[in-house]
Amino acid sequence: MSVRNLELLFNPSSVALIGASTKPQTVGAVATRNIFTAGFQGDIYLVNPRRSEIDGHPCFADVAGLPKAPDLAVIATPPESVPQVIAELGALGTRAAVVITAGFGEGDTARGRALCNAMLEAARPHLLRIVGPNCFGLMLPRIDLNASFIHIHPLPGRLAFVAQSGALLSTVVDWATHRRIGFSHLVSLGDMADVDFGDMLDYLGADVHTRAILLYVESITHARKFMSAARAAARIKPVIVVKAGRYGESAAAASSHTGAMAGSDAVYEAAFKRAGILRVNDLEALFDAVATLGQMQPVAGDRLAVLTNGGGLGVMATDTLIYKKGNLARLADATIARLNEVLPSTWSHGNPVDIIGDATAQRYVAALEAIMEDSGVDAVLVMNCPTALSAGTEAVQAILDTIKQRSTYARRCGLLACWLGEGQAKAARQMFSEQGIPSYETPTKAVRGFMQMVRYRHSQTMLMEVPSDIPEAFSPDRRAAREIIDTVLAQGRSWLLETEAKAVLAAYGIDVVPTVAVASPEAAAGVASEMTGPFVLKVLSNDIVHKSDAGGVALNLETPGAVRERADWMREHLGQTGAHSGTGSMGFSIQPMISREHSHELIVGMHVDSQFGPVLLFGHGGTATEIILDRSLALPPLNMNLAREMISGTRISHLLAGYRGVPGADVEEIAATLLKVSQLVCDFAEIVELDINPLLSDPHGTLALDARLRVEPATQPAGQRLAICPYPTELEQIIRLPDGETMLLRPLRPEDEPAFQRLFATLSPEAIRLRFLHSMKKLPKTMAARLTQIDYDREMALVLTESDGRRNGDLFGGVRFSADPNNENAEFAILLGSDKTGLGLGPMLMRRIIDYARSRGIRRLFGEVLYENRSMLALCKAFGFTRSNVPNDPGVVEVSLQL
Amino acid sequence: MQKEEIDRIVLGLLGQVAPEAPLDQLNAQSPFRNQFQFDSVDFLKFILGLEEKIGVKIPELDYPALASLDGCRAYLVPVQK
Repeated sequence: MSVRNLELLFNPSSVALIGASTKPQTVGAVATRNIFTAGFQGDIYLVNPRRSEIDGHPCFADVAGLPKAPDLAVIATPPESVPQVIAELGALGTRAAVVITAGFGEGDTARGRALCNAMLEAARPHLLRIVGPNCFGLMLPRIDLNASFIHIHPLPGRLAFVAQSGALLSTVVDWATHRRIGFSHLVSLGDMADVDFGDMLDYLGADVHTRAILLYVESITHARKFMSAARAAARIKPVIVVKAGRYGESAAAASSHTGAMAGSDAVYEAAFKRAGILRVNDLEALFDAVATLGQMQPVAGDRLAVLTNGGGLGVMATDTLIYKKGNLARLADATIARLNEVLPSTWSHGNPVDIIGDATAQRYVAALEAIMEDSGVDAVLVMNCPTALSAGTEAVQAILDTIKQRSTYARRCGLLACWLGEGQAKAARQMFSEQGIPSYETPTKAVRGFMQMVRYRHSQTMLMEVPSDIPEAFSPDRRAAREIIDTVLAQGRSWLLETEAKAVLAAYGIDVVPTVAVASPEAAAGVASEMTGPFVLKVLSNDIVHKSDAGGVALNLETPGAVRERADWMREHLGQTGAHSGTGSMGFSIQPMISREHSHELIVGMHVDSQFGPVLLFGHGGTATEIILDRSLALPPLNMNLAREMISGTRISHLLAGYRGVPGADVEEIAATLLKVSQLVCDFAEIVELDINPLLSDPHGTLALDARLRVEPATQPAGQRLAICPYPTELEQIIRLPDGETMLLRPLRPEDEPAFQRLFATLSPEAIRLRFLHSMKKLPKTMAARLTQIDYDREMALVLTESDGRRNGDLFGGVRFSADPNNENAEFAILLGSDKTGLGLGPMLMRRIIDYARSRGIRRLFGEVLYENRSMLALCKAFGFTRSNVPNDPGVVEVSLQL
Repeated sequence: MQKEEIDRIVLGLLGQVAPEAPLDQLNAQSPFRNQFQFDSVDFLKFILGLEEKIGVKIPELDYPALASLDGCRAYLVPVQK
């Protein structure tokens, strides 16, 4: 339900504990003690019908008797009472509650579900937000609030930690407090009946007290909301996740290769990647990642140089780097020559740069300078092992001085430090940390930190990708595909015959091997006699999905006679084994046997995940595809960049690049095929399973040799089932000005951020105040990122830009709306550069957003306007908006239009 | 529509929406807003008036094309009243 009222949840000025208690060993008693001992400065009310006071604090008999509505209510009463308590709180004026109470059947029993629904129904009329039920509560160290039954009070800090599991939260509090790590928010979401990870990301992404968002995820709800919230939050601050259940995949009863290989955890992995979220394996890596991302400047690439005074350390670092698929930088000849001059002749003469155990501070500095100036190095890991001869903190100081003096190089080339040991090394690590250089105790941890940074940077570029809903470079024959799918559904079938599946693919421009369907062995032989052999014969039956497994595929048949003989055998044999029910309708397909030199068998597929909707798969294909299990997943829609990214995520991509005299495959053509499949999946909600296996790929292109496709009647428009909304190309419009000049009106893209900043810079202080309702000298980066990362679903923004469509073109203005997830109300805002007023662009943008909001089914459009913004108020009035005052803000009016 | 009729309607509407507009010295090529006070509300009133006079709904994407007298002429000549 969005961030509405979450402010009261996370910044309350008063708190009530419903179900306060003194009974030892109860949740109510611990919560009561926590709330008083943490030091919360706001009002605290206790509610318990059987007591008049607890530990000297007055107790109220019921919610109705409270002297005022608490901002936040913490509920620890029995489950049956919760709906009533929520109703009373809502009536009183409370808008946020944490339901610690368990026993809602955790969603699995009818009674539990009914209670949970009753609770949500009670909350709905008041838009009262609920965290829980079945959670440990929340902790807000910044305002000394411990509204949980975790007995440790965490330290204040700037990390937000959100987990479903309360037990995990208490472990983290314990673990982090002992390591002096503090938090802005600690929240246990429990059953997520209302507030979920998406809401938390929306709220924490915009929260100024939070520097990084850490999530411990078991499962997510509302994938689309989660994805858009995550993408927006990840633009602004690091979002790092530990996802449990990496190997505990539910064994889906999958009837396609893709379904069998796209385990739910792999789908999460793909979703996190696309959302710009960094996934780590465990809690230790989580907090290490926070330290690295918080301290280190962004790295430009993955090429690491290692500078060490011990060869063994260098080897360990290299091992970890290679294991984690990093890249050991190759030093330039000039760099080697420079190092030869400054290092003793026994140095390693390559990367890792081992400057020998007797290295002095001067030697460290001389080597570091040479390495940092090498443009083939993206970051340097400086390591030191304690030796009797080596310089400890002296070297640290010299390195820090060098970084300061040579800031140009230091800005381009990242630096990480690893001083091993205790005592002096501890002080050394501290010195680095204080100067914002991440420092680690072991080479393994240091390299892991570097790779986290590399992955983080990569994920940041990924979330800027917004594929269009209109194909970039091909025009599919949608009608042909539609006809086939409709026919299959009308016949009550779900699996398409191979010939039908191939025809659908061909309609989308995918090269398929010519395949002819025939009804009898005689006809099969007849078709073969008109083709060039050898031939492939396959059974065509609605009952047989895995044809090879059933013995329904024969390869390399040399003559039409052999084709007929084999078809006769299949008819007899498959009928007997029961693989095919009733031999009468069994048909055959006949196609030429394709064998191409230097070709690879690939698989391209699609599967519908229960959380994230359609998921695309690419990998090493063939009959052994599930055993090889070399695949990469991605959420559609794709563009060419994302398709290439998918390919590069597999081991077979190295073979596709060509090796040992074998020419490389046409990777662009493979990417284009992925794009076409993505488009097919985005266009047809009926498609629920798809396998192209094998997709043959060689230097000359791709060819689908076999295809399987399953359909179901669609229950929603095709776009609705995607976790990521495509860029709506159809909203692009050319605007003509009277002098012949044109502009492009189009949906905003994430890469518009610099142009948005430039537009902001042209605004007068007065214009800024009128548009943003307060003065601002500069548009904060976080706000610019948030304003340009929209999901085209809940939020839409149309901008006026140069009509040549070039990247990073200037913006002249725009209009946006942001709808409640229930799609009833949408807030709008409009911005026009001062030199563009009076040309009809303002009214055009207003009319456009009104029409668009109406077409989306939104009932009411509203906006806040400064009272003195006469021209905006007049324009709104002319469009029929009504005005009302905003409570507690006399300078602002709300304008509102019923659609 | 005929050019004369377009001019008559446009100038008449401008006179209503922006009474101070020096209509006798109007530069046909230059946007109205460069020649007299003509803000978004004036523009919208002008468009709404135009729609009423010619009996045709003007799609919003075409508003900017009507920002000058020449723009109005070019846009309205093909329009059948």
